[in-house]
Amino acid sequence: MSEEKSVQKFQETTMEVVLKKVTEFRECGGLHLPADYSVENAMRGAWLVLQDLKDKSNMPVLQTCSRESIANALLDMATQGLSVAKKQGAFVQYGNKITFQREYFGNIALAKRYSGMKDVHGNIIYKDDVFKYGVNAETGRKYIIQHTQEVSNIDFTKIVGAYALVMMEDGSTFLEVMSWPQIQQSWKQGSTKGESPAHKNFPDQMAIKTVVNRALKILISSSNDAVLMENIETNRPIEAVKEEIKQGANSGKVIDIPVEDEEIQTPEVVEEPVVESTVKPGKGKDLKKEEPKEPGF
Amino acid sequence: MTLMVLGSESKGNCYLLESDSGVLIIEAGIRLSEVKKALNYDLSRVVGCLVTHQHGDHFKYAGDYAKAGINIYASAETLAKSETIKHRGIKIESERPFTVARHTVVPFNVAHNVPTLGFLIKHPEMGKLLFVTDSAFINNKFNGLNHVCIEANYDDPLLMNDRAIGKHMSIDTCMDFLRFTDMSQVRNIVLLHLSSGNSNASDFTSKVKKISRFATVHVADRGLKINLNLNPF
Repeated sequence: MSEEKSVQKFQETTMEVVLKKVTEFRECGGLHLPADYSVENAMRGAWLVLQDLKDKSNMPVLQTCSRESIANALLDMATQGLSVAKKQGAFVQYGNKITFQREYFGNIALAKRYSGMKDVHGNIIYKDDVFKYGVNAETGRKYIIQHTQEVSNIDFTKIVGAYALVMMEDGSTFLEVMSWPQIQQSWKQGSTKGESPAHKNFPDQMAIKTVVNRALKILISSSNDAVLMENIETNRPIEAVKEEIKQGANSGKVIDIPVEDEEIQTPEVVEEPVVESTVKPGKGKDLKKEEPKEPGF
Repeated sequence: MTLMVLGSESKGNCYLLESDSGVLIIEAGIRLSEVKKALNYDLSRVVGCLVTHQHGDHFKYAGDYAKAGINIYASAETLAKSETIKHRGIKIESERPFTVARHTVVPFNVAHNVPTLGFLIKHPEMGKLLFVTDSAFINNKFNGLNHVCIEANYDDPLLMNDRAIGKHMSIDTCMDFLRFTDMSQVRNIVLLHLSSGNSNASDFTSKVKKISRFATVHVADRGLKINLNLNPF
């Protein structure tokens, strides 16, 4: 019981510290988070995951891992604008340290957010498929010439490769192709060496993940943070903006209240027209002389 | 007449003008529950809600307000962004005066990155109140103002490259406006949208105080309540 309580308390304080840090960074302009990202939700979600996370000896990681590493992992997640609850990444334990590792869905989320990617599709190439691809001699980009597949071709023992086709918002495409030995080689880099139940039972799904991740890697790592700056349309030179302010400020017509307003007694305005408006002499010379239009529905 | 600030930041904006003729809400960026709380759970006195523009921190909860029977006064462009306001939406246009209860309101265009209105509001109790937020500058001129609610968002040298430029008002532009405007009858100046990260509230306040010696300068902090009566006694 006391153990539970201490975990609980630990959670609250660490959580507060990290959220406070994030707020501090944001307030002093040291951190830009995506506008559509709720850092509070992501943090709470992450805590739910962390609470259930146990290490190899079945101890809760909240007890065995250092508080600093937990705070850093959370901060890492937040600065990337990702959510563990959405499986966009995972907390991985190394010794007494927790780190945040971005995963497949996180890669897709980041590529969509930052690099102008519209969509990405991965497919498996089986032995009896007709698959031809070429390389554009001008751009060096690969493209699919043909891919036809029979349902009877689908056989996990006959995978010859996989590809990922990335569609960008500007209409261009980007193809990444990997052969089966390449895919298996990349699996050997992982902790399970490609021997996990997922790899064994669903090699097609895992192969697609692998090739999609590879395709997105270059998009994400080479992206800029324009999205965070949120000023795509105001990317004008500051001098131009200043000039516009100088020209525009305090140079327009006078706005004033119609003179008769004192007599207007309209408790329910919606239906009733305002008493005809005239304008004080010498003021509001451009105000329309016509009856003020009652706002319509 | 009192002005109550329920929120004046990029998280949500909402102001209440409360007088004998009811409560006029300006901006719908704060949850309806907060508005209810501020009004002691009595929405019957609300006469309407003016909205400057479509951004979430000003317009997000307009649909909820409308559902509660509050008329939303906003430009056609702004109303088009909501599907829940329906018949409670009342289209207003720049420089077309209208009345809400005993308030006479003249909307006018200001300079933001989406169509945005400022408001000149007159009520017998408070005189003329100017309300401008989310605007890089104010093009129009005004006479005989009694209260000025104006945005002072960032300090020029502090952030030359920031996204606020061209969309929000710098303290310098704000002060230029106040210098240019007849301040002889202004009693209150309320600085809106003082984003805590961008600007130094006390520094701004003292700058503005220097320009207008007869007016009281307030920073629109959440919960601020000020008396706008022409006769303060």
